[in-house]
Amino acid sequence: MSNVKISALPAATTPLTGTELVPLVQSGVTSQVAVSNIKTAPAGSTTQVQYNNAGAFGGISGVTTDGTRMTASTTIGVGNATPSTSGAGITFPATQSASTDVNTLDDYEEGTWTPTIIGTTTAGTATYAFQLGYYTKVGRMVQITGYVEWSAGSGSGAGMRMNGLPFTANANADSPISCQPSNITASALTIVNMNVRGGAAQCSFLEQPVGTGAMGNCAYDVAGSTYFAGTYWV
Amino acid sequence: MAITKETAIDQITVTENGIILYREATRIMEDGTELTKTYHRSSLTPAQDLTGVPEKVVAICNTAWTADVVAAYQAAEAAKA
Repeated sequence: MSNVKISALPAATTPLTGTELVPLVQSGVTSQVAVSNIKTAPAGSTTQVQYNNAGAFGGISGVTTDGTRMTASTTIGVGNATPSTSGAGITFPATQSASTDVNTLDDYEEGTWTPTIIGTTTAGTATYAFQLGYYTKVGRMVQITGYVEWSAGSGSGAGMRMNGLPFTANANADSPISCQPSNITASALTIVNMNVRGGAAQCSFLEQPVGTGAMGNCAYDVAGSTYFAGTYWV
Repeated sequence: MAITKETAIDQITVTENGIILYREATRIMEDGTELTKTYHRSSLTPAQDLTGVPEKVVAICNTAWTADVVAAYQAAEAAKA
């Protein structure tokens, strides 16, 4: 071995198994150590989760662990979503990647939508003093809330709908939602309520008889307003 | 440091019964990096008036809303009414 440059030695077989010996100088004494006993110091603080930083150790400042649990201090992107740069939470893909697994939360989105009031025979148009809806979608559940106030409606029909819901409701699930109507003409001794129509992106206005009797359509009204809020599934 | 606002229809979905869902994304950008984003969603039922609807959504409506699709949707609506 003497007088042989390291660069002239034959190359070792890699990857190493850990049992190979490497010389070193410790406290002025030349010694040997097994490769398995050579530790590389991690980067960052002691609790940071490590990652491959271009071949070197790197500590993820926003992800720490106590050895059992992990903590993320900012945002986590799933489904290749770019984590949001604001706040802390889970960032889902802009377009849902639907999972068939019943224990998997696969979508989150929030935004606005614009409710319109139409007739079932003639949709018509109307003048809107206010028309704004909000939605939050979590998995297959869609929560909507908003207010619409219209006048000078030109629609017609035995039924009246609120159109423009942000998602189409599941075909097998009509969903009642709560409402607070004002100045909507309804039959005597009935209460106006609303229902998200299965398979549609609309709500029906319905008349619920006080006492006994079947629910029926609320006829188109040229003017009125209502607050509404409720949940349906897609 | 340039702050810009971008608005785009970033998602259009045609459902099985012909309803068109589309989403308008508004992004506030700083030097190309997204600072914030909001969504506004709309839905269109077959044969609905398309006044004021973005051009590329209209194009999809006109393709998707064949006479058969419109008739089937209206028949389904009539059956549920």
